[in-house]
Amino acid sequence: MTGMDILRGLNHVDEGLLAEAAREEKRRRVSPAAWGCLAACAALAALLLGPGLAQLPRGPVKHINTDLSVPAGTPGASVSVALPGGEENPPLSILPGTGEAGGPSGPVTLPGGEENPPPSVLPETGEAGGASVLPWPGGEEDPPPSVVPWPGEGGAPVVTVPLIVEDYESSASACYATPKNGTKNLSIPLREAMEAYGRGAEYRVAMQLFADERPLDLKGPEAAAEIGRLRDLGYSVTYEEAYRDGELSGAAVTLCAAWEQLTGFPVSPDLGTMFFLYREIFR
Amino acid sequence: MGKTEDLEIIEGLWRRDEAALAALRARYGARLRRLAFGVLRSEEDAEECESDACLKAWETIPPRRPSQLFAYLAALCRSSALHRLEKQAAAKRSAELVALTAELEACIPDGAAERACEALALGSLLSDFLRTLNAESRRIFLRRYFYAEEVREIARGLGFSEGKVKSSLHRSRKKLRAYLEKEGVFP
Repeated sequence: MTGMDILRGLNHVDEGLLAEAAREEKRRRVSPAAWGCLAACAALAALLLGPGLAQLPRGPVKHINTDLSVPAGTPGASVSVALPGGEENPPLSILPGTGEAGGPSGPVTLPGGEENPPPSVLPETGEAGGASVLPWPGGEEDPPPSVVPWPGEGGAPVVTVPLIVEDYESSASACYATPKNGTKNLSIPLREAMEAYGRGAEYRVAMQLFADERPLDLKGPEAAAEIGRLRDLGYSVTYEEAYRDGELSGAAVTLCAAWEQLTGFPVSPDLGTMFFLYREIFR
Repeated sequence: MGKTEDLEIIEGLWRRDEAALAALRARYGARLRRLAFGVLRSEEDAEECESDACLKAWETIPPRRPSQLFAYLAALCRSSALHRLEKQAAAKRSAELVALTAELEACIPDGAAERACEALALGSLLSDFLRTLNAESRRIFLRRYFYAEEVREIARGLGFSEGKVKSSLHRSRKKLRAYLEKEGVFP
C-alpha cells in the first residue's frame, strides 16, 4: 500500500465527515468598523443608562473590553452585540452593577479569549451621566443600530448591532467581466464572504458603475443620479475617495447593505454595477 | 442559504437544467479549483479538474442525489486531480521505462474494478478511523489530506497556530498507522 492508495481511499470516506471538515469556519475577521460598532454600541448604552447615571454619585462608563465597568444602580439595562459565529464571537453583555437601587454587581467579562479585541476607550461621561456618542463607523450615512424592547420588565432596551464585513480573505484571484447595462456582478471575496456569513452580517461594499461597459465617472451627473436613485430606494450610499501620498488610490460609491439588499439589488437598466468588498478598493 | 441552495442545484440537475450546472460552478467552482490546485500546483490543471468534476456531477446526478453536495463534488474533483497527478508522474519517468511498463501492463487483466473495490474498502476503513479521532483532529486531517489545504491555510481557517496543526497531523498519522496495522492492512 502506498500513500497514493490512502489518498484514493480518502475519496470514499463518508460524505458527512467530509462535509463537516469542509464547513467554512474561517476565523471571523472582525473589521475595525465592527469594533467601532461595539464602541458605538457601548456609547449608546451609556446614553440609555444616562437617566440612571444622572442620579448616581459615581462610576461613569469608561471602557469596553474584557473587564467592563458599568455604573451601579441602573437595573434592567443591557446591551448585547450580536456577532454571528457561535462560540468564537459570543454576545457581549453589559449588566447593571449594584448600587443603591440594587441588582447584580461586578465587572462583566467578554468571553472569547484570544479573540477579544484590543480595548477601545470611550469618552468619559460627565458626572451628570451624559455620554458622548462615538461617530458611527462609515460616516453618518451608515444605519444606526436597531433597538428592540428589552424582554421582561419594561426597562431599558436591548441594542443589537450586526457584524459588518468589509474584508474577506480569498485565495482565488479573478478578472471580472465588465457588467453590462442592467446587470450586476459581485467580486469573489464578496461572494465568499456572503457565503460564509450569510444573513448574519451586513456587508460594507464598494460599487463601481459602468455605462455601456465603460467605467462611469463617479463624480459625474450619471453617477450622482444613480446615488440619488439608490438613496430614494433606502440604500445608504455615498461617494468615497482615498488618497495615498497625495495621489488618488481608490474611489467608489460605498454602502453598507444586508444580504437581501445585495442579492436583490435594484440594478439600474442603464448601468452595470460591480460590487467589491470595501477593503478590496480601499486598502 | 447553503443547504437550500444545494438542494435547488440538485433538483435542477435532476431536471437536466443547464442553469443548475452554471449555478453549481458559480457556487463551488472557486473552492474546487483551490482543492485541485492544492494537489497539482497548476492553475490550468486545477481549472480542468473543476470542469471534470462539474461534468461528472452532471453525468451522475441523476441517478445520484448526494446528501452533501460539496463533499461529493470535492471527491470528484480530487479524483480527477489524483488521476492527473499519476499521469504526470508517469510522464516524468523515462520514455523507455514508460514504454516497457505500458507493454507489460497490457498483459495484466484490467484491475480497475478491483482497485475501485480496494479503494472503497479502504475508504470505509478510513471513515471508521476518522470517527475515532476527535472532531478537531478529524477536521485538520481531512482538510490536509482530503482538501489538500496547506498547514498555514488550515491554521488560519480554524484559528489555530501552525504548530498545533502540525502536531495534530503528526499524532493522527501515528494513530492511522497503528489503526491500519491493527486492521491488518499493513503487513
